Amino acid sequence: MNVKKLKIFIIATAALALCVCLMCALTPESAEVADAVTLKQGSTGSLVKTMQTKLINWGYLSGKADGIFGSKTKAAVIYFQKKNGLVADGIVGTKTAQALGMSLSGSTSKPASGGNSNSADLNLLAHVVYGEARGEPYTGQVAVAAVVLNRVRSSSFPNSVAGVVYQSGAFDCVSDGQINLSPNQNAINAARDALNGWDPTYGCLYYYNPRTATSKWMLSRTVKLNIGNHAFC
Amino acid sequence: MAKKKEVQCPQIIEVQDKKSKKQRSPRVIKTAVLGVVIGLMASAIAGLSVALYYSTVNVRTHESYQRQMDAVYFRTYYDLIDGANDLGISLKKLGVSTSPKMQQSLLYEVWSAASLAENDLGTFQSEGDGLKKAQKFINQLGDYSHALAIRVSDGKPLSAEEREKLVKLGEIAEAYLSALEKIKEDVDGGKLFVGDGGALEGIEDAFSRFAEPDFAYPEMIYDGPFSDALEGRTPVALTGEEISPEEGEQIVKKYFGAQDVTFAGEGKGDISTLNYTFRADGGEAFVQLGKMGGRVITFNMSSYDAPAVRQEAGATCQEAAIAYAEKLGFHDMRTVWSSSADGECVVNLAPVQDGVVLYPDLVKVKLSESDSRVIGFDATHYAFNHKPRELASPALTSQQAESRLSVPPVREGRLALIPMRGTKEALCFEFECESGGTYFVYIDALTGKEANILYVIDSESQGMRTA
Repeated sequence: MNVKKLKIFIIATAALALCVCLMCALTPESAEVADAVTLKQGSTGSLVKTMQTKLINWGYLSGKADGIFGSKTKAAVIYFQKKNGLVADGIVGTKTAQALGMSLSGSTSKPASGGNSNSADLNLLAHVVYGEARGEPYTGQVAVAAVVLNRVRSSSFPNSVAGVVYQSGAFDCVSDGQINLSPNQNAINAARDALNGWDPTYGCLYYYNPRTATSKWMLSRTVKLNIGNHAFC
Repeated sequence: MAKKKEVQCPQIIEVQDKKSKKQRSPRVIKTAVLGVVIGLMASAIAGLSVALYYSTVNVRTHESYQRQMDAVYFRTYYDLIDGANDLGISLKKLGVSTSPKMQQSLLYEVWSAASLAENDLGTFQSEGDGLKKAQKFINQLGDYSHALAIRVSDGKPLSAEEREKLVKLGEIAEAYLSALEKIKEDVDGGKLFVGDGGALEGIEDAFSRFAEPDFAYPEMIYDGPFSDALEGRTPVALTGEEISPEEGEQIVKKYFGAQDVTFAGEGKGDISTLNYTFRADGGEAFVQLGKMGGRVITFNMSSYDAPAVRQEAGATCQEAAIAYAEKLGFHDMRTVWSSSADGECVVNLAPVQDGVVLYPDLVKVKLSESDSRVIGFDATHYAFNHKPRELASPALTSQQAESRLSVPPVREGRLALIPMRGTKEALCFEFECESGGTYFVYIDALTGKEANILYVIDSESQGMRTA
């Protein structure tokens, strides 16, 4: 009996070990699923605040935008939906958001790609800013976007935003994949400022972090400006 | 006896029991050990074979990615060679052509071949001076040919000097082709682009000739965005004495009413600036003063959570923008454009001289849409371009200019000075027209020719802009 039990136990253990091995080998890296955001009663945050501000500005809601989706906000959303021929369910999904002139793609979900080709440059620039300089002061983020645009304008670099960004070895965020992170509103604003012409570097084509840079060629260049952790040249 | 037997028997049984236990236990241990060993070996073998399987798959995937990458590089490379050949031939033909029609078509061919080459060249690495110089050569060659093509189409054939320059550029194009062919030896020898010791690593070397100091480029000054004339521009509007960081600090305190102003170093870009930061509305504001004269050139901060106050955005923002510019010493400004996105409004202002809007001297003001508070200011264009202009009087009336439009304008035309290719400016009548979209059409006030057309694009994320 004992021996049998032991055998069964051993075989079971071996089988279990095998299963674990197989499981480890077979389980793919869990993919991050970005779910679409909707705002409904109980939601809070800056998106709710933006939405409330818009509703207040247009007279659908009175009071202050506090960033909390309560029953009063819900009533205002339903009122807005009715007025605008939308399904009056009090939930702000893609369509209602569109009618409100706002985008629900904040930092919690991926911004809709494609769409308007005019925004492609803004989108790509915002990704670069977020991937390269999200920890930098706001002006430092504008400056990084401005460097990309200065390269587009320079005769020594490719003539499009994508050409400059994806030039081999040009930006670390492209080689380490951080360019694929979803940018936050700050990065988007910084990218837009640069597209509107703000350039705190006044024509710089390069930047590096003096604490981590190793390229001799880069370090030999004259630094024209320092913002945050970046030296611009 | 019977009692003894009774007593003995259990003893015997006990001994026998102990014996059998002693006999059994090594067997159990053996089996256990064997079982564990077999189990471990089985799982090890299974684990290893799974690992082996996946590593083979990985290696194959890796190889297939590498081949795909190589294919992209090979395609780009062969396109570059083709393009370089085309460039050389077109430039040679330009050297002998005498008809403006032929010249124009050849110049457009050079422009188009150079655009393709520029695109392909950008696929390769970004560091290294040789490749950069080659890129600059290609860009300028295309841009110059384009500018000449426009000029020739205007009825002015190539001058002897321009032909000479094109011949010189043709020689550089040959050097460019031979640099590309150096890589061909590697490629013909069976080298791939990607990987250790791949042909990619040899590219910078192949173009090293371009970075040598004795490699002669002609000076490229013409009307185009890549003209050498645009390098090292001076900010003509910034005059006055050089100011010290302390004086600058006082200026920032005066204009922005901030107390905790920090000097953040100098900027030595195309405009020399003194930079300052201060805390404002929970964020950090960054101000740049012109070192010469101490004017505010830019001010910027990220938008803050503005209080929600009901507003008639547009008009209020525009008034606030003009008032702000006035406060900073930018007078006679008029709103020429405003656009909003994500709660921020950007108003473009231009100075007006003798009723003419000076577009090259734009000032941009960024405001928070909900309370019209200024959160950004940029007078870079103004700093580079603003000076009193000598404006010729128009040879056409507004009505005459209007008669050249294909679509009736939505309002009367107005006189404006607009930037042209390169550093040129042109006095034009500006008309806003509607025809399946909004257009701004510019009719040259001296020649009556169409000088430019802008089309308005409206996008949610970027606001309204023209292209």
